[in-house]
Amino acid sequence: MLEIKDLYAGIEGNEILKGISLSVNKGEIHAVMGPNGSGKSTLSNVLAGHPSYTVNKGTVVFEGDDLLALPPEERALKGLFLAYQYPVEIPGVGNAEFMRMAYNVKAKKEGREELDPLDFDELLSDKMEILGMDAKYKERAVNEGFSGGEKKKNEILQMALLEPKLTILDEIDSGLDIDALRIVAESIQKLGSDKNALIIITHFPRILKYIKPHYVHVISSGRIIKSGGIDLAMELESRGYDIIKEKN
Amino acid sequence: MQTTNITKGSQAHLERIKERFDGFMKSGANPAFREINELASGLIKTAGYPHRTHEMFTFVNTADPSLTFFDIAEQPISLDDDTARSLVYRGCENSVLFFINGSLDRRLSSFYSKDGKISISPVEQNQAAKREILERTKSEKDIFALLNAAFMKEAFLLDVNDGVSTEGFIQLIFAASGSGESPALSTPHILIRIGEGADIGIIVRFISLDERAFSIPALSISAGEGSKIKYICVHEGCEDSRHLIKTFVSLSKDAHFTCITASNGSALVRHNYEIHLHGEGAETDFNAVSILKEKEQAHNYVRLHHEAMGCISRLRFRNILKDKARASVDSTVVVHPGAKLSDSNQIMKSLMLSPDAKADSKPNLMIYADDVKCTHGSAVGQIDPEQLFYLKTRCFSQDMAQRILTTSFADEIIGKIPFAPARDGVRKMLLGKLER
Ligand SMILES: Nc1ncnc2c1ncn2[C@@H]1O[C@H](COP(=O)(O)OP(=O)(O)OP(=O)(O)O)[C@@H](O)[C@H]1O
Ligand SMILES: [Mg+2]
Repeated sequence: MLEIKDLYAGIEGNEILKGISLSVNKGEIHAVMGPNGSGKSTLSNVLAGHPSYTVNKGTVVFEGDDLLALPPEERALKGLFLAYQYPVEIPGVGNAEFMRMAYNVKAKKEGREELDPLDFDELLSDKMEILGMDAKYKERAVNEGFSGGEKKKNEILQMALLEPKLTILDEIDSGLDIDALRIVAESIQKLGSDKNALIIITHFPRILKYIKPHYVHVISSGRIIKSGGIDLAMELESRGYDIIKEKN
Repeated sequence: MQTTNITKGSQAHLERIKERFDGFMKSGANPAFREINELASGLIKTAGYPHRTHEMFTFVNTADPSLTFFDIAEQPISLDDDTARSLVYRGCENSVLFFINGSLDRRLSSFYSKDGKISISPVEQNQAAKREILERTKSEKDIFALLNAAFMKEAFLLDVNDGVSTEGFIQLIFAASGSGESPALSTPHILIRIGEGADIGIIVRFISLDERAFSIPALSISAGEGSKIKYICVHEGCEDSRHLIKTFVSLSKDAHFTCITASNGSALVRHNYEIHLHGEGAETDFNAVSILKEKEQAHNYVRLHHEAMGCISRLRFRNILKDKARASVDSTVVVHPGAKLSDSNQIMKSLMLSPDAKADSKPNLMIYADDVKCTHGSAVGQIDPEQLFYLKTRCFSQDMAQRILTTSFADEIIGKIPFAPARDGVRKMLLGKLER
């Protein structure tokens, strides 16, 4: 589904990613861990197509297409979804209306039926209930004044509506309280199938107890320096990133 | 060198005004307003024609020859029924007044007021109303408001009795025409008197029927104690028309004035709002929005005076500019001595969609009283690239994402219009300009 080969990318002349290679297949869950500033969000931004980043070398193939050649909206329409580490506030744009428009753009592209506000509201209400989100977040402006945890839930709500093939969750677990973490993790898990895939960027193995990754990768200074199974995450938790340094 | 040129230019403007005025006094003037006409003409002469650096016209090109090379608009002209009907907002069919080039068109107007508690009448024989205009003219500083008084030949009084409360809105339509060689000057003049405790909605719609329309309307609203006014002002110019509007508002104790003013821009639109909160506890919630393209201009000039204790004012301005458009907001809140516990906030925001567009904002505060809470802020910026990217990662194309962000920016003001047909009308008029 996703094939990243020897990716070098940076921002404002600083090279941050220095040769990332990663292959993700349908049905797989990958966890990416690594110290602050190691390039995890850079990787997600580059994959999503943020215009501030430049790719200096390497290729990314997504569902058979050269991902890097596509504008961000086409990446999204092809089924790539980034749940932001810091979701952006959009004052003046109603949350429900925003999600309905996004839903309809994708539905139209896929030849599915577009939904009017009433039908969409039904769909939205169901998803919000699962996430334990109050109905008042429909009328509020997108992410405006949302707490950290509410913003994260709102990202998962969009994921649930857009049903992406590949989702990158950039620290979805930061800012969530214990109950919210469980609810969010369960929702993510329900959305998983053998047809889609997940990349979970996290600092904490706790979320990995709910969503069991098939692979865990450790990224440091813009490179994947170690890959393994869930045990690697546990090891990191007990011993910290020192284990990597030792081996380097 | 430059100075002499400016002086010469101003002098030429003054001379042209004088020439037009002399012609007007010989034929066309209404003897009932002669005293006001002459007073205003004299004041224009003393004050001089404002040059570019005049503090009231910092952002407006007063040297524009069209502003003084005018003829007096012919009246009455006729407006066909279909056009007229299309200008009336749904729900206002029985409460609409048409002023064509300043004259009340009784055939097009339709005004039924239960028990005559709301009335419209000419000011000609109303000595008290005429005195009011005369007194206001004496302290008028705006050259175009003075021009209105100098060339005024009709004026009307809209009188709303004490305690009158209406659900619907009264719509005043000011249509200006002008198809000759020179810009055609029209000088509508309306006094609106709102009785104590009245609760009323008024929509004022300024329309240019032709490219050469040059209208300088003057409105004055006096609001009685405890009255509530919802005021919507919509300006729809056409490309080469010019509108310089003066709106004077005076609020008694506990009167509330909620105003949303929307402008479509044209060769020149300038709106001067002079608002006096002169009774204790008076409140103003003022909102202005415009979306401009090509070479359109819209300028708001606001002077709001806190003159009594415990008054509240909120002023919000939003402009979106494309192409080579120009907008300015020049707004000053003055807290007069004794106006303790004044609470005022001004926010100006402009969204620039083109590097060739120009927005100026000048928020200002003058405080001469203690114990007040006054703030102001202004921001001129582009579309936020992070918001744009966020929307794109949610499947929206560049165009759609940009439209969502610009529309919502303007709609934070338009959405406040408390009358659905007018709100929809303004959305249609302004938001359509954001399409490519
Ligand atoms: N505009 C920029 N100019 C220069 N350096 C930048 C810029 N933006 C980000 N960086 C740097 O890139 C590096 C990688 O940042 P990134 O956000 O990808 O880290 P991260 O792994 O997601 O960290 P965290 O765990 O804290 O979220 C950091 O050192 C950061 O300071
Ligand atoms: Mg990060």
